Amino acid sequence: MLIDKTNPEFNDVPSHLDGQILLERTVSPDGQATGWLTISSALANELKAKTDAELEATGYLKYKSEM
Amino acid sequence: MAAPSKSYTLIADSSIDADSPIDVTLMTRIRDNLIHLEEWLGNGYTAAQDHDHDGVNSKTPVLADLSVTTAKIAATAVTGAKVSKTIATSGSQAILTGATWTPSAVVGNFINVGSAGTTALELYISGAWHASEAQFVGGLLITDGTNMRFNNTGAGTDTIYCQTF
Repeated sequence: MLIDKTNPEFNDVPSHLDGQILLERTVSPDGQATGWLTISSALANELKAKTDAELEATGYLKYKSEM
Repeated sequence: MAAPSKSYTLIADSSIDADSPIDVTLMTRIRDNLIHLEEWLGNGYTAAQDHDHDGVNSKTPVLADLSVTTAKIAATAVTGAKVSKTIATSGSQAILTGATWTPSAVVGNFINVGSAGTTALELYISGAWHASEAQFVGGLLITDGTNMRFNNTGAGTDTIYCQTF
């Protein structure tokens, strides 16, 4: 999911991550975000060109829908 | 906090001029105003000059939430004994090759239990990210949630475990 700081959905995301691809929010048991796992748009484009088997090998298959 | 048992009533100048009688109304007002003042100053406490809100000669102060600012705390006042060691949250985050993980603003213990060993701790300083020379192994970190991140530049997944306080 492309981080767009003008979108209120990303209010909790640090501003320097604007334009990155958000793969996952690390969430603590109390529901608070404790971190943000991101990749660059360039890497996301590279990954989107891969097959599912290749994505599986890199561990990114579970994040396919986020890219 | 309970209100004083007697309310304060202004005694008008016309009630105390030379021709005014010392009557029940005037004396009651003087007495009630004294009770009002006594109860307001510290009804259940031992009277003292310049009382100091120590719970003996006046009630201890109740500070409003968030009213103690940094400036009110002496530079070396907060010792290790005063810092909470209770774990607030704990968890882990897998960091894949090419991904970064930016922890939110916390103080916590972080360790890298990944087998790849290719994740560095990076700080954002003067407009650029600066990576540690070696991979991140573990330590106590303080982050503002913005200017510190983990960056896995190698081949393989690392997993960061953390305990925050």
